[in-house]
Amino acid sequence: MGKATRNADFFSLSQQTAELESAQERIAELEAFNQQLQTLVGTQVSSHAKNAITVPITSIVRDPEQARRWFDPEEQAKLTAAMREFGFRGRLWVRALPDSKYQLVAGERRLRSALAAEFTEVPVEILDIDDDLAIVLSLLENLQRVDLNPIEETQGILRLLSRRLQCSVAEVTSLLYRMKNQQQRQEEPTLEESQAFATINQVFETIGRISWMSFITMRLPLLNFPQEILDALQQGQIEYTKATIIARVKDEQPRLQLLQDTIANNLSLSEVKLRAKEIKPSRIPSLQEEFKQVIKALPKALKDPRKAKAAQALLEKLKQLVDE
Amino acid sequence: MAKPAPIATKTKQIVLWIGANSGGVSKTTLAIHIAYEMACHGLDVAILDLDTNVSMAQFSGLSKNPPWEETISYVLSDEFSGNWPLVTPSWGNPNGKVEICRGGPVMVQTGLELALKKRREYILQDRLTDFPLPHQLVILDCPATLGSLNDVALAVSTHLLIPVELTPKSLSGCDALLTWYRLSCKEMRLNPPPQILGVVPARYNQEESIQRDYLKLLPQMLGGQNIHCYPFIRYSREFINASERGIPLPLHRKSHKACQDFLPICNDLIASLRDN
Repeated sequence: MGKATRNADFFSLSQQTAELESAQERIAELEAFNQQLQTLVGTQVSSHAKNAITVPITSIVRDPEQARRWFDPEEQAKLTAAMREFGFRGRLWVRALPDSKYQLVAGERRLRSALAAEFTEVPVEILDIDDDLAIVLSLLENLQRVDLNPIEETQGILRLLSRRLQCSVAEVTSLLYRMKNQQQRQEEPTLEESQAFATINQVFETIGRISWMSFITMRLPLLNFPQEILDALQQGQIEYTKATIIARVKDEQPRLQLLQDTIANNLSLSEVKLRAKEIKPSRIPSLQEEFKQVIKALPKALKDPRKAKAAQALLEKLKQLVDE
Repeated sequence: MAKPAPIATKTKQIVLWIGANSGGVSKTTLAIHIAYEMACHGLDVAILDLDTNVSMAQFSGLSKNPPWEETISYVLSDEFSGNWPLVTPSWGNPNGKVEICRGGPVMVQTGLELALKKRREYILQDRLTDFPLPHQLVILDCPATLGSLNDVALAVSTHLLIPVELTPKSLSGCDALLTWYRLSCKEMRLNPPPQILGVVPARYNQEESIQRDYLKLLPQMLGGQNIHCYPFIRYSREFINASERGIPLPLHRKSHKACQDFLPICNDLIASLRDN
């Protein structure tokens, strides 16, 4: 580069406008979600007293079990900036504790920004709700995180279902598969099952971003990722897109190596793809296994008319071979 | 057996706004060469010239002094009844066709008169709704001043392409343009707002160190806003020579390297048309 470092700060004005815009969008999103929660609370705790007041920010304590592990610092900074500019929007949801303290039910992200923006007081709504509903609300709010990856989302939804159905996560999973099978085979569920299915339906409607069917087919399989990859995702060490590539490496040793390298050297997605491609399976698969693999991938390829035509020709040849 | 999907169907049309906030950054050159390249791929392209200068007519070899009824000013007037005054330049039939609706000095008056019209920002959108053009790609060549004619273009466009010269003046102008874009989309309640296809460094001269430096920095400058940065369009005096003859560069110097510089943009447009 030339004698001095070039000034590259030409786009600050439009950058600021863009940031402000996305902060406003986020606020609108949060407000819409707040509305959604209000409706939920309205239907579930209609008989309870609601109380909207302003309290010192120091009197709010976070539920240690519900505290989120990781927040995108950039998103958080944007929200903080927006709060400084527009003030605090909406109300945090709290439960009353002894000694004039309040336990946070929903609004962790906004609380963090309010602290960062050095607000001394925040508007809250005191909800008179039991432990159970508090957890459901917290989980629901968690699911609205902007930086939630599909695995975290899947786990969150399972936790939420297990709460609502009062059963273990493993039982929820098997219930979901039963629901899918019965739908596909058009079988009649038992009374107990149909009650559970109605609850599941309701939960997915409330979440509103994925249908129960695609949750079962697209999301549940993600939890079968190798444990080390789930751990790395949990700790925010790698991005979800990279994780899916690494998870496809069958052999444990090279997979671990690739995972370590990806984290240590922050490999790009295309680098990860390339490395994963280079890893050859240690055992040569049998002809039969290879056939199975090809056949498994075939239906998708057949959608392409050109490939379908070629496949048809090959099929004829195979038929001849078998008949010989 | 089903044929592969055609590149585009009548239901999908891209309206590409080519604009800048500083003059002489190759807006018209881009419009002509993208149009020509797309027509070589078999697509039909209409160029609507909203600019007050006559570079479109000059670069395409058309008369610079058309009667008013043959300009876009007439299309935007109350007298327009649906017969688009499109003309085909001599080079406009490589495979698909390129048709041009000229602007020029008449647009100064049109810009002023817009102020009195109801739905003024949406006037071209209304025209294209009432009297649709069959072309898969409509290119809007816009003036370098952010004003009423650019509002009109923004309201109707689906995609934005922003040429910049790698100079402080042009880059600062681009910043102002992007700010204008964001605020205008919101004020005009464009939903969905037109998508920014990308910023393309034009008239790139490798000999100048400031341009080389800015070229390296540009993706990073735009990255914060998630704006794509295209490979450069190189500077060549052959562009000027081609414009003197009123033909695109590939017809003037077939194997000139700069002919390839438009391909990444055209490939994205084709992919986008195919998406539907």
